[in-house]
Amino acid sequence: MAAEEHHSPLDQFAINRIVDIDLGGLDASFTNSAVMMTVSVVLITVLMVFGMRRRAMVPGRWQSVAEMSYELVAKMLGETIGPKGRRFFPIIFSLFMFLLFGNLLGLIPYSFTFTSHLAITFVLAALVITAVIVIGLIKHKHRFFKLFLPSGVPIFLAPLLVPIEVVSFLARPISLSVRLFANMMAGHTMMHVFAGFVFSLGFLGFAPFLFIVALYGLEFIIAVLQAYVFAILTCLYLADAIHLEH
Amino acid sequence: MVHAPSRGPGGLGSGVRGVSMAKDERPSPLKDLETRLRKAREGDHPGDHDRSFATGLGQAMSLVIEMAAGLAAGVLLGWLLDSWLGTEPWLLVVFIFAGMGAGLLNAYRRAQRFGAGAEPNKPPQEGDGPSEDT
Repeated sequence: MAAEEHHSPLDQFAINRIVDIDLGGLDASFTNSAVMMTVSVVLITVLMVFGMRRRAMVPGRWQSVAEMSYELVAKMLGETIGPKGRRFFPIIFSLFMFLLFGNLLGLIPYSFTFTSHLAITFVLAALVITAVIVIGLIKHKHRFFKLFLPSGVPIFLAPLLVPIEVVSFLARPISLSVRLFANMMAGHTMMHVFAGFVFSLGFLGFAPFLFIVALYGLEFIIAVLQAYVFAILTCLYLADAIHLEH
Repeated sequence: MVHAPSRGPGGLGSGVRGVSMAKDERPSPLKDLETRLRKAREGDHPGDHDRSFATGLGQAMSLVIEMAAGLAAGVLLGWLLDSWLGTEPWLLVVFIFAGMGAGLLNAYRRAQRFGAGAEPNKPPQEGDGPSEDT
């Protein structure tokens, strides 16, 4: 139990510098988080480039994976944004695959889950919401602000509804990033806590061990689900900016 | 293995493997593939219980996060506006209430989507689409 001190369940989220890089006073070091991001980008590229190399009529295993992920995102875009959504495919697909690989690679023991850091998920969410605002303003000019006043609402309710709608819009990047970060962090922390029980309970440790096996399966589903949720919510927010007339 | 595809409905695993391995010229009977796939999908999946539990957990959690995020956004906006305009506590008070309202509104909108499509691998807002978020 004394060893618990240097084995806090939160130790696994520690950022370690690997190569120190200093950009004019800015700490841009290459960390373990950056390593995992690089690995996931490389793996996605390898999967896509080599999986589709053969372009067989009857796809092999890797080609199936590549095609399935393509079709998932394409379907998601088609159902949320419609035909206009095709041009957002590259960004949504990159986002989805990046988060999916980040979540899944984090499940490998001794690796690092970069999606368990709010800094990462919030930057992505801020990127999404900035894109939504910019696209909305370009497409609809000042009419974009009608988003904050639903049509058919009597004008005397506007002072009440506009602040609520503005805040609910600003809450989107927060909930988008916190959802992913909290899911990842909670799952990994829970696994670590129960892993500690396995050793401290001695013989009875098989019970938490079985629980970890079940939890691991659950985490696997959550990893995929959360990447999907992030991507589909991004699609929905983009759809809002594009189809303002609703 | 070559005659596996002609085995009709039933063993999906062997059927699929047979299709990808069939090297002969004769077109494999893909016509009933759709029905076989549907049949296989209707069967029980080992991960079903886990998945519905994960979905329920995820839905409950996302409602909580939605409400908390609304409040957080309200506090943040009120505080920033206050320090910008110099109206110290007042806008914060107003936007805390707006944040609560926004959190509830967002949670309500998300909960509506859960009802539309309970399955996690279907987009949750089929039918009523993006309209409800404007």
